[in-house]
Amino acid sequence: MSNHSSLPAIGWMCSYTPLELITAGGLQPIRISADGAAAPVADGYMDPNCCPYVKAMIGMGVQKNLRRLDGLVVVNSCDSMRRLYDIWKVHIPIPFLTFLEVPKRRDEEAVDYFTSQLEKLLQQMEEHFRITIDTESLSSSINELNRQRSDFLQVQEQMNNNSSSIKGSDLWKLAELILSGRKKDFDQLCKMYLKRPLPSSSQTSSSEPRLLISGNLIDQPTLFELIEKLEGKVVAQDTCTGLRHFSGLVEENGSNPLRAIAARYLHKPPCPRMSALDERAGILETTIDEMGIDGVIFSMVKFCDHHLYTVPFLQERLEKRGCPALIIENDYTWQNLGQIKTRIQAFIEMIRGKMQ
Amino acid sequence: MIMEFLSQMMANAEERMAGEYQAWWMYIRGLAGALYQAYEGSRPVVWTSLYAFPMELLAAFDVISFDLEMASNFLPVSDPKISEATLVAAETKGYSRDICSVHRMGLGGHFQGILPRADLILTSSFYCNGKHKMTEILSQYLQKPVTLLDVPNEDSPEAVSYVVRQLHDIVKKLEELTGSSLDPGRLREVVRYSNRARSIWGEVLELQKNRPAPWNGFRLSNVSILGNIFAGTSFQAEFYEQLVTDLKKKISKRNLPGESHRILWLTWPEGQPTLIPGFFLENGMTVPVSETGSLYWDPLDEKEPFEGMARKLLQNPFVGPAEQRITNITKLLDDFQIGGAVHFTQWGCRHSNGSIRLIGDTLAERGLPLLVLEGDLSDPRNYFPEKTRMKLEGFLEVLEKR
Repeated sequence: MSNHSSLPAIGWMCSYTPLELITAGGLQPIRISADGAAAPVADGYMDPNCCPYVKAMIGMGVQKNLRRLDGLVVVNSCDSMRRLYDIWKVHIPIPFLTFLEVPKRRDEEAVDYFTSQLEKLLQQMEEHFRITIDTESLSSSINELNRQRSDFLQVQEQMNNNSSSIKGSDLWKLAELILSGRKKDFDQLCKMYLKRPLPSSSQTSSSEPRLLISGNLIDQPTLFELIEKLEGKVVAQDTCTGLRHFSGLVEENGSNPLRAIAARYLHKPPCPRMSALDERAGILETTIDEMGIDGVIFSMVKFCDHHLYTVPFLQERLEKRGCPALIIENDYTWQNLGQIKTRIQAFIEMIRGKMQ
Repeated sequence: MIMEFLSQMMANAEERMAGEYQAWWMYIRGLAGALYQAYEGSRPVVWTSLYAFPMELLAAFDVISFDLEMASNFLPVSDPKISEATLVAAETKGYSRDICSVHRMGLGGHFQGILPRADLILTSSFYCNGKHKMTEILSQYLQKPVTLLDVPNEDSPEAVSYVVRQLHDIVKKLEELTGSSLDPGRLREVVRYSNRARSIWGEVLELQKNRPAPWNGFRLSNVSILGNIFAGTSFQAEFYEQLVTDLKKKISKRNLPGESHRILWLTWPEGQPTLIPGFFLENGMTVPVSETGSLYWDPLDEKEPFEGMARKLLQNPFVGPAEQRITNITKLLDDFQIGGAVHFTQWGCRHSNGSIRLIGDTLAERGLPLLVLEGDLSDPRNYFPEKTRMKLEGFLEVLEKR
């Protein structure tokens, strides 16, 4: 993990981290990732049945591979992440460490409460980094992040077209650029993709099964590249760093930018941590209909309760509507790719059979 | 069949209430009776998580509280074959063996049709992520909305206010369900019962400081979790009063089993029958107190009952950072002159197991041993008696050498 700018770097892990606050303070948010590498050293800190991503982060922290970070914002994403914060606080020195509570409800009371949490975070950052985050800087930050999200979603829309040359792995790499703080590279690549003319509907072909990947985090392009080799087309990524991260804009030019930010994060397409299972199922169904999805692959890093609990229900619901769904698990390192390959191959062949 | 089983259980408990452990059998009679009422369904049945919900609020209404985690484990656990069949019912629907067996039991219980009807479904965001998700899934299968009581992981005025607003929303739902408004007089009475029970529980814990400890801590642990179903009722205070009487009698008779080692039991009461309590008894190991049995909350304020309930939730050692849990553990180590601790690790209980390192550090600083004992509350396939015995023997050796 490296910081591609000269600004103080703030690490984050969950798409519920309010990036607007970080950038408004002139700080550089960087999503920390071990690029799918295992961290056996973390076994001494975390139970074997805790999230491998969380363990990889602890491993990086303990092994001092995150020394370039000036701070870390941990969000209450899940039980494993709560414990990551506890362990970090005691065992991994870092100049600035904070824990942000994020409600699981999405009503007005929850937005009020989350706004109060953002106020606290803002104050903590101002005090620690000796900066001022005012309404103007917040508004400018909101506009910039909205622009980035819109650009990403436009590329996504373009990719959705069957004859588009943009592949699932390309979109993953595009997301990775902005998540790791490489804004210039992200902007350039977006521009390049968006300059390409959209093919007309008559130019579209339908030979490749159109797939939706739904799950938690995917920190390597391996899965997408595998699907592409098997002649499947990933047209949407409902993941922590895919559509769930980029969808939903913050209301601009409002009188209370903090509340607008709180509302956006709580109202964006929900992660299964939220109390919104029915809505989540509905969003998947709409995505399937609107994007002409032929099959869904639920991909999970192991021991992620939010997904483990809800995926069988979602699979059943989608299959009742005639959309086949496959569940695969990985240990964050994707060492079981061989086994996964066989299952995905069979899944794609099954869909292809249905399409003929 | 289930109601017959519960009737027998009640009758059996009533018979045994005349014996030495009167309070314990009062409690078992009460639990079986509460479950029986839920199946009988003569009043609106509210599904909730009794160990993680302000049960005082439900006690202020004419409803029957039902906890599907408790029920799904309480009934089949008497026979490992039934328990396994219930788990398999969930697993064949795709629910992974990596998720907590208690929740697989709840889901399996639904698929097997052994749960009573739900007129209202309430759940809370703590202790773990899984409980909320399981309840949400069941609400989808049942096509009944679920209300989440979202309890933040920080104790602050903003968090209290957020919880209080949600409690008022839940009152509205209960009013709609029962057709009656919340009676402030009844709520005051409920708060008084709750505070009275709290105070008597304090007496129970004081008696447990006796050497040897007069009561089996495994039962204490059970009561501290499942017994919350009676919070805010006169029964809870009556049962605790009887418990105090029983314990005083036991202490005065001076015929308690020997006590060589005082052990703090961390996390959950063991669910399925195991050799653990027998091993403790045979080897002079007592459990004066369990982590879940501590008196961590302030009395509720009659004038501000909603704020009081919210604070009680936020003060729970399992809410908030691991520090909150460790502060509670440290106090128990001191107050009960503990010589070592056993952390019962339920497979899939990520929020509690994730703190083991920090708890171990805390005990090590005090020169106290910690045994991490893998087990399973409900899944007989994850219980290995020989491995358990070997680990306990090793732990005993460490204790003996100190």
